[in-house]
Amino acid sequence: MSDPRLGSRLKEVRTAAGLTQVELAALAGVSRKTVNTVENGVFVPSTILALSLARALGTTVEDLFWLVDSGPSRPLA
Amino acid sequence: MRDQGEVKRALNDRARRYGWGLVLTAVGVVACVAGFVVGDGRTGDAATAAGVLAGIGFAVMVVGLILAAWHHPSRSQQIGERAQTKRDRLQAERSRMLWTFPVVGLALLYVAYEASGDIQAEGPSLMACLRLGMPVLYAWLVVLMVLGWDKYSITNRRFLDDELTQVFRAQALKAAFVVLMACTTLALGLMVWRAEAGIMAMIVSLTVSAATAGFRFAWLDREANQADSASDDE
Repeated sequence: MSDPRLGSRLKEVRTAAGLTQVELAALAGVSRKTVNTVENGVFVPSTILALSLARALGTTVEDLFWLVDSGPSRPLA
Repeated sequence: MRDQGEVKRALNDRARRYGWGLVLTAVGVVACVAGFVVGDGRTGDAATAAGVLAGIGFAVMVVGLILAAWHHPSRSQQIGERAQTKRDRLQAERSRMLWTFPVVGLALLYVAYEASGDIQAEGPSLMACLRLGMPVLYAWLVVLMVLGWDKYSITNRRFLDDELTQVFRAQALKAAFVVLMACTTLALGLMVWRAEAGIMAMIVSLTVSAATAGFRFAWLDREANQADSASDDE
């Protein structure tokens, strides 16, 4: 389920937004377990889930996820 | 959105119970002190009544303190992090069923084994056939649950059929298919050797394969929960 090529800073962005995993899960319409497994790199989200998470956090998918060999699109504000 | 509302309601309930705890503590303290003050220097019924008042006041104070401590706002953040949404609760319930039903199905293999012996000795009867089919019935139930085609999953599809579930489902069915192929191959070999054992071999094959699907799904869910707990400890 995991893929070492995927980088993620979902947890940092969520924490910066002042949201708990439960709140983000509710906003994105998934289980808290899903949010947690994505944050821990256990589960690679689909495009739809990535977009839902980005929308819930008011950011873009590129700000949340990136390919490890290319690095994040921009630093966390 | 319903999940978020549920968490907010739970936190509001906690705040309200904390408030009630404080009120009860205050009332208890007042009653307790009043009991001691009123009873001081009195004798007879007045002293007894004051003692009862002080005792009740003390009990109410203790209950209030426990209520306030249990619902203290400092725990609210923690509760908010760990609170289970309706989606989480339903998924946990499904996971519990996927541990339980395969175990029941495997246990029923013994009933089927006895029924198989009865059929071979006395010929087929309705009861014996029903007993023989029970593990298969449970096998179907488990498979339907893994596939999300049972009534529970259909009713709560919005909450149960998320992406992680679809990944778990694929992994569970992959494992079950490998076991089904292996068991059926063994059953075929057994049937060539002892034809009378064929029926039981097929029942075992179906039950074990379905149990594999159920256990694998529940195991993946458990692993995800463990990752969850580890992250909460950070």
